[in-house]
Amino acid sequence: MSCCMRDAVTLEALGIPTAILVNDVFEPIAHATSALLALPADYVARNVVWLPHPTSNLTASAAETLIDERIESIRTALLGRGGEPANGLANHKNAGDPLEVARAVVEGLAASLRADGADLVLLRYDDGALDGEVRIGDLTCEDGSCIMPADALAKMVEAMVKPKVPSLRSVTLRDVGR
Amino acid sequence: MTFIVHDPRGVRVASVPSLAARPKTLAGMRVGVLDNGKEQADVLLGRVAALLERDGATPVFARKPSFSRVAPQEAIDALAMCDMVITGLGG
Repeated sequence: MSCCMRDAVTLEALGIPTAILVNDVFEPIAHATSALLALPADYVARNVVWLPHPTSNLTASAAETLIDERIESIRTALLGRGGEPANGLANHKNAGDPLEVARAVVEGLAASLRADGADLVLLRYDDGALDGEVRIGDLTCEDGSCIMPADALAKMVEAMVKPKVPSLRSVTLRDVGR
Repeated sequence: MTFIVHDPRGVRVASVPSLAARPKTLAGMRVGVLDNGKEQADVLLGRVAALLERDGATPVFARKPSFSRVAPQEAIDALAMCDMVITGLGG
């Protein structure tokens, strides 16, 4: 998902309007990536067209119907009309225990990772340092086989949590097996 | 003696990437279709291309070797000749 968005930003920078089809389970990642890349606040609302997850088990006929139902949204994304600013994670309240706030903020992201067979678990918050684990089973990121390396995910988590936990200074995530 | 204490934290400045201007119509446009290789992406994007073709657009297809990587430069170069692009499947 985040790579689709990075490709889109690359193309936008070249002057090419780009719309993105994304399964809705990845909405938290879309908003987190948007924050990480410092994209306009309404970028996701205007440029992403959501599909109900999962799509991998659809028949060809059902897949076509799904697109037929969304083609107007796709036209709108390409031609740049409409799209209300997304609320997304911005509604989360900034209160309470920092670790619990951070966990609540990234829960949607963790759910997205679980959909891909991984998980994100935040373990502790100590003096501005947030530590956690990316549980990816037998995969490692050393050969590039995982969807998102822990260091990149840590930057994403920092971008998501920092607005809600101003005392946050660092995020450290480790790849571990289940 | 007077000590001057500087704040070491600095200021984090992020530039907001600019987005491309949108055309007013699909008619006569070359629409790049960037398939990231995920299951069913070809079917879903193929349908998008077929429908946009009915609007008068001409699809130009490109496929990424891996959905977990950004598009290779040759794919970006090919799509840079398009008027607009749709990419997927983020799922």
